[in-house]
Amino acid sequence: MKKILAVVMALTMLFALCVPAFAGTITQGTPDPKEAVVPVKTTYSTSDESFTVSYPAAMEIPWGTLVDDTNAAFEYSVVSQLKTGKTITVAVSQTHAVMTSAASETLAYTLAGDFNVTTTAAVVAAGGFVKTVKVDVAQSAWDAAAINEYTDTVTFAVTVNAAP
Amino acid sequence: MKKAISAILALVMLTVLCVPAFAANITTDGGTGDSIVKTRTTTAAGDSAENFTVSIPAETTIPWLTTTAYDIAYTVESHLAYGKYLTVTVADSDGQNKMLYTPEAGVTL
Repeated sequence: MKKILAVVMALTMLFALCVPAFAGTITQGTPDPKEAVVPVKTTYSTSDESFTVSYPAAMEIPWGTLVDDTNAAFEYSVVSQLKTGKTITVAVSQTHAVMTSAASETLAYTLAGDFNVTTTAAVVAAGGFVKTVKVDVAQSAWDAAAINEYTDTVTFAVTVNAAP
Repeated sequence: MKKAISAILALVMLTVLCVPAFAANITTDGGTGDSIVKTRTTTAAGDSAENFTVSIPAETTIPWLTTTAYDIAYTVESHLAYGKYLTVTVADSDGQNKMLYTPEAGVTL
């Protein structure tokens, strides 16, 4: 027991001897001007970077909607805080050239508007990067199609671009 | 107390039935997200998109002494749901298959 106590006390005294290393000191003996320059610096890791690309979960268009109608337009947005020089690219693409109904009928469509965009800064605040993609179905396609629910999938793909 | 709890539960169930279309998010480099693009069967005004038009002649004039069959043309244009179709039936109004003379005003036979 005595030996254990002795070892513990020795370790305790050892830790007491550990004096933090200060960058420097200013004392009465420091030459004038008595000042010290201490750099202040931020550190970061990649985990401090973040971004969110928000897109519509569904894009429903009323029957007969043309590309210039407001119902054909859907917004998506980017909010980001990245390392200096980095940007974000959002690519929007349709899976098929046609929407398909449960009865296997098809309705041709394309995408218009902002379907391939890149942010211009590493930091984008909410509301600072809002884009619009439009569903374009030609009038002739509407006229030729039996009325039904036609569906397809549109994919939003995000890429973080390294600083140049 | 029981009534209050019942009312609260009813409201909770009601809100569950309301499913708004939320936006989805992508937060990782290389991430992708799918959005369903879909047509409705109603117009922007909320009306059914189905419609059809059968165009018939307001009047058909047959030249005197015509002894061959005389065509009465009519057309159909339709935008209906899958599987629907139109039938147009043409028949004499009174079933007599006879045309009658209606005297003009001021004419005496």
